Amino acid sequence: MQTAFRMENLSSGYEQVSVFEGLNLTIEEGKVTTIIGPNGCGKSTLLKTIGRILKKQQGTVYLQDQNMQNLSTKEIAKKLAILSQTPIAPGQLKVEELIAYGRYPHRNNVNRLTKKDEEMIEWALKVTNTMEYRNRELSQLSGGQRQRVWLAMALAQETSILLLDEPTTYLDMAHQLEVLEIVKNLNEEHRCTIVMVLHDINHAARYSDHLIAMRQGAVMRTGTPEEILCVDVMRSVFNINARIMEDPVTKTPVCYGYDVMKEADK
Amino acid sequence: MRKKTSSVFVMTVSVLILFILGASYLHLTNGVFDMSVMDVLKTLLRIEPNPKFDLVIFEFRLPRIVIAALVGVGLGIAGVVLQGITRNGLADPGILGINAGAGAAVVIFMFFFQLRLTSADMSSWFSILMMPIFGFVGGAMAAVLIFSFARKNGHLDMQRLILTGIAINSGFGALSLFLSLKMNAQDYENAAVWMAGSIYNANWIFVVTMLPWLILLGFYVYRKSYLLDYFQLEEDSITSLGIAVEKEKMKLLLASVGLVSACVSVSGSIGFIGLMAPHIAKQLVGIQHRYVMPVSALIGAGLLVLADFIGKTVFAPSELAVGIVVSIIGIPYFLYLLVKSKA
Repeated sequence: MQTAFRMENLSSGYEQVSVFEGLNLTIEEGKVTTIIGPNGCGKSTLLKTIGRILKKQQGTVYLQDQNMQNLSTKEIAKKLAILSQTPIAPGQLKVEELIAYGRYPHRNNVNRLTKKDEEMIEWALKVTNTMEYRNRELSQLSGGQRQRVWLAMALAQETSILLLDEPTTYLDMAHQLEVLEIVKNLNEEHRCTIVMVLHDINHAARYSDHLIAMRQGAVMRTGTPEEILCVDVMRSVFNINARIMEDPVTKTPVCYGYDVMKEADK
Repeated sequence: MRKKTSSVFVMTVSVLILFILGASYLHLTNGVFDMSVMDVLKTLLRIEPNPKFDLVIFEFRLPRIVIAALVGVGLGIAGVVLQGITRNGLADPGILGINAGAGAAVVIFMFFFQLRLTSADMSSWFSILMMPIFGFVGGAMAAVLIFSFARKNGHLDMQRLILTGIAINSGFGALSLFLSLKMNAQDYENAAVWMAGSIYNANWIFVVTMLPWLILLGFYVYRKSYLLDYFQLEEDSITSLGIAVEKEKMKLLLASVGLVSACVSVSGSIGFIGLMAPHIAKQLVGIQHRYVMPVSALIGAGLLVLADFIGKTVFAPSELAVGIVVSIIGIPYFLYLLVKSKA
């Protein structure tokens, strides 16, 4: 089994503040892996660090068995794309133009799109169902539409690995699932490796092959949704007494109610 | 869509070139010494050359127009780059303190060396170029200072860049003021005129010294203009696309410091062009920088040639520094654009 990421003794953080230290972790290729954990546990930091958006403080990250340190940022951009949590673009930019930005790592002539570029842009529009407003300006889109356009830009980058930092934030329930269905489709049909951060543990359980549960900068547990979405792990990771059952339709565990643990329970 | 933008671009550029030619024509024919169109044409085409016209056109007016246009181009381009990499529409060469640094250096130069310089018998090239060289060194020094303060953990922070720029700006401004108050009246006047931004003493040596910088850095920055499109996204997305953000920003920043220093060294501190020209350009041709940059350059050139013409004629025979005219005619238009874009 090839690994998408292998972290050895990885430490990262912001300026003087260390968020996690000495992390050892592997993420398999071709799977959907979701990092879950309470606010401030370091899940976004981990995603940003392996996506080289944030400079690691120590340790080594292997991207498909190559030391990331030895790869140029452009080479990395051909292997992995990141959708950040709050992406920004000028409102006058056309949907199609933004998606074309995703072709940057593959382009030699920056002023003209090749046939391959255009094919990839078409594909990204199709997969994300954004074809119908390809000529609109970003400012004219709703939050859900905009998120799918950003996803399309990441797809146009033509990478086998996709990192998504809370791709469903600020979306309503239907639009959340819409995005996750696209992600699932990318993994199943196009063999993309997906690593994402999600807040909703039910979504994480339903759409992931693997979960990584973090707390206070440490990886508490890793495993299948069934292994992670259980009473014990929820207690130690989130400090909650969760009520869990199997969703009769999706056959994945769901947390249908919970209470915050009292001091006495801890 | 793309086709439409490019045809708007071609039209805008044509109109601007006509505008610059028109302003240059006014500038050439009018002044203390009026000439007819035929006189100007004849002189330029070397038909029946007249030494009097030759002197006025080739020694006084033409170099002045050329310098105005070149400085406008330089500031227009530098403004686009600075606003692009800081992602701040208020960034301009003046705010970065480069102007103030150059100004302080020139004042220091005048304060300590002017008397000796005029008394000593030096070659004309040397004495003409002394002031621009000092200006250039001062501008570059200010830039180095700003960079070293704005860097934090090996990372160039754009908010810090602007804040330190403002601080350095007022620091150097105070230094210039302090020194100029201790000068004799004649030197003070020279310094004050220079600091207000003026090109009345333009000559071909200035043109020759700044042109290579402008061509070299101008083309370099234009080749990189596509990057400024990407810099409109937030930093995480740009990094994800495989752009070496820090490195590219540094290169562009250095190039624009070079451009601004070259301009400031021959013209003194001319404000607002670097701020206004990019905004006007974006209103005209949209947000793609390979269109915005040349248009901003031409707007800068047109504005400066026109402003210099106005400054030279309105209160003739005394002159108004071109920097002041730019502010007077530019600011209302700029405010108008702001109001209009909000509506």
